[in-house]
Amino acid sequence: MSNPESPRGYHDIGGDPAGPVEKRETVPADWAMLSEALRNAMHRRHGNLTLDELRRSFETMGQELYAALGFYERRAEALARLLEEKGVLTRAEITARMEAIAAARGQKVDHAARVIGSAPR
Amino acid sequence: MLICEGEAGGDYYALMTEAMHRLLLERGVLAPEDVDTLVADLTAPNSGWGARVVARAWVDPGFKARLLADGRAGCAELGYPVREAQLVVLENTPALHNLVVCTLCSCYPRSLLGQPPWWYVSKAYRARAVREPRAVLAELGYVLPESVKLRVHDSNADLRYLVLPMRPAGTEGWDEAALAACIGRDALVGAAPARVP
Repeated sequence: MSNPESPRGYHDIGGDPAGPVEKRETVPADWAMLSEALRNAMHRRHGNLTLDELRRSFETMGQELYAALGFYERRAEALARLLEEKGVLTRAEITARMEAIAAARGQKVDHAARVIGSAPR
Repeated sequence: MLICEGEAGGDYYALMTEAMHRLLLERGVLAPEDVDTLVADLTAPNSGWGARVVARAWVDPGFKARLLADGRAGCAELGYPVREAQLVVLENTPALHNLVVCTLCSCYPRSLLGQPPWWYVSKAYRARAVREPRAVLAELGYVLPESVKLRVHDSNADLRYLVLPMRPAGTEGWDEAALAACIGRDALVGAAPARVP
């Protein structure tokens, strides 16, 4: 639990109460590996977007988002934020391209809810 | 409030990643081979590499001493470059068991072992492994005898851990390949013992 006398980041959860540890086996999706590779490639080719920066991004995106997103989703969101922060791609460019890809597949994107759905006929 | 891991947004972020990938390639920020090489680097390492390191340490005392002195140099001897951080190797003994966690994030020796298991990055494990590690181990299927001291190691960006489990009884004279088959992914972070398959 956060203590106002000694504030901790919301990611600093060591020792907090939590539910059972589920021994679930899931292999990361291909898109998750691609997202990780994009971050690594930006770092290797351009020297920016370090792992420390990625962590800083998801450690400051806000507790609500940090809590709601899955592990690789959180990191992809942080990557998008860093690309905008570095002046590489704007969020508007990214979301416009998402909509174009989705439209070509007969889908629509709800950015507020972060879901992809069927486009209305 | 109990800490739960989020699940939201898989399809959404798959699409976002596809959009970012296309834009970065189209603008020449990245080349296709940059990304392909790094996807391969991310998906090649696996727990079998760590198992080979442990099996060598079981049969070669000189190697074991070098591995315990400098984990990264030891892995490099077997051709496994640990790129991301220092590697400290923790030896389990009849009196001491080691368990690895990353409470802040998900630090794990990925360039040796590949992507961490789901439970390792789950918030429940990150939160509770340092508070009630014996209970967490039991939930993962390993009941550690009370007589064995349990030490928990919290990883960080600059320092990663590999557990050197105890060699199972009855494996005297086995070759390295047979020994490596005793060492599963979870044993390499202390979440299970090495076992004869």
